[in-house]
Amino acid sequence: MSLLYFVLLPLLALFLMPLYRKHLHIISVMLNLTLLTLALTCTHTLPMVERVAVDLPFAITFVLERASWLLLTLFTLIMSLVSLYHLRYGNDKALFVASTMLGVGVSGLILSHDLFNIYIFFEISSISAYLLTALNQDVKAYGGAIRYMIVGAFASLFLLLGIMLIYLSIGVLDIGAIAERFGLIEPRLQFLILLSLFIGFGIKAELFGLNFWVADIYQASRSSVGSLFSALLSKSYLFVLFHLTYLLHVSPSQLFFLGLIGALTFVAAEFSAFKSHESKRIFAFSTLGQIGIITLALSYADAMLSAAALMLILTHAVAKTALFLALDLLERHFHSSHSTIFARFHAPFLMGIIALAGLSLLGIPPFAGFVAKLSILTGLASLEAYGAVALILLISLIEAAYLFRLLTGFRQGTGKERLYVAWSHKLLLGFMVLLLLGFGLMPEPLLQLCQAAAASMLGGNHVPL
Amino acid sequence: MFDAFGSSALLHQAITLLCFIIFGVALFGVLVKKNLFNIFLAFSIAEAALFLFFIGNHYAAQLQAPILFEGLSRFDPAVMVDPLPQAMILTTIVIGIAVLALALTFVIRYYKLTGHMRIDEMDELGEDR
Repeated sequence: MSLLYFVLLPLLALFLMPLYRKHLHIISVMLNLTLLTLALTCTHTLPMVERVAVDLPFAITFVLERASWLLLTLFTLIMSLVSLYHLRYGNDKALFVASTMLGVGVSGLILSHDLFNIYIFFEISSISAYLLTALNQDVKAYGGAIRYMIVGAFASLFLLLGIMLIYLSIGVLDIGAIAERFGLIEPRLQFLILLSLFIGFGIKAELFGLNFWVADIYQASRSSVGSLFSALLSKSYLFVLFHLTYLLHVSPSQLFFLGLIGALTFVAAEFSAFKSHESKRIFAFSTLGQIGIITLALSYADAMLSAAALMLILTHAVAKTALFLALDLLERHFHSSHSTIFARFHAPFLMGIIALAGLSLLGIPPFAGFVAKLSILTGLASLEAYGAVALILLISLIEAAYLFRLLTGFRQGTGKERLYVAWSHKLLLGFMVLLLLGFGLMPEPLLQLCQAAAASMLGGNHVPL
Repeated sequence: MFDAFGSSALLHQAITLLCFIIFGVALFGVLVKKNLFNIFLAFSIAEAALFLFFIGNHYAAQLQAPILFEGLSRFDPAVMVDPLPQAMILTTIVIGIAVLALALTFVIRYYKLTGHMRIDEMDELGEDR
């Protein structure tokens, strides 16, 4: 099995598009299910290293270890679910191209083991995200895409600057080799490099101070695209940011800074979500809130907390995909995503899905979100970070308030419209909620996978050239 | 032309200073300009400043261009300049052009729909939109 398949198969599918241009939705499902199967077959052969060398050190290196495998499997699963969701809506060339390229971008980001390839895949995923934002081709879509491109260009400039400074200082781009030589760089230049990389990845990972644009982008995009942004895009950038953070052995004060940024992201996002009345903006701010908690947990560089953070990445991705896809059904029917639409329809199944996924997001038992959040709180308490525990509990009340406000919308209004939900969509959304319930009731296998992934991430699992 | 600098270190310092002045001016342009076309143009200038900075700092007057030909079948760092920065910058230029083309396409489409392309007049997104 080659790791290159995760990049080459989607590219081949795009290249051969003219051969099956009337069946792109079917090809998309087949492609994503194939990639999911390939990811699952890698379980017993980890860690895997694939090096395409012209003449060493001129090589492209892909590495799949426990942490990147976990995310790769999650990404291929989410891509499969989203492509299955779109199956009913027929051929959509733009969606096929942009979402397939997004898959290539995020897979490459987490597999790449050298900074320049990370930059390439960073740009591939960014361009796909701009295209996905503009899919609706109306004023909102173009306005959102232009905003996204402006902040994306900032991120790209600073990432490129950081990479150039690293190469000028130590003459290597392989992240294993960088990890070994980073300490040789003069401290002031080290700081400048870390700052550039932080701005580059921080903008894309939607961290506080660099995330003012996020709600607009989600609002401008289709709800189903929001699921890809929330579950794949932000998570892949966050993973690369912390992978590099651990490999470069940044100082405790820099980790504290990241933790502080995480806490501020969480607080600011939850307050913004509470103030908002537009469903996509609420879900966007909620995503930021979860990213804040994940960042806070990962900043402790602790095995237990990192495992819990990875578990939260997984559970949040599934819950948010279910919520965004359910919202997409509503948006397609009502042509609006304002929270008042929740009072305008009657569809017990869809209401149930939104409620259950919302409960998992909130961290209510017996859902998997509860296990993830409980593990984070336990981990923080074991490190005597009681302030962080209190903050998460307190701000979670705000999260509960706006989610319940959204859910009580179901009970309001009279003369509700009966909303037809297709069986294929019911099966898909039901599967996601069952997944959340299953991992909530039997969390051990997932926790063990997350613990192994966290150990691999923290252990600086790298392969120097 | 660069031989006049005498030493590579002095040349590299001059290139670095010049490039960061251009980079700073371009970023200032991004922040103060309101026309979307000008904003993306400023980004392109900032990007070009980074390219010059990187390539310029790998220039060495006494070394050859890294082109393999008869008699020189392998990369030799004692004779040739490092080829990696050039390969990197070529790739980055291609990406930059693609992104700029996409950005301008969006700006044109946006202009056709709204009749303006000013960032301070973009009000189609927000809480009650």
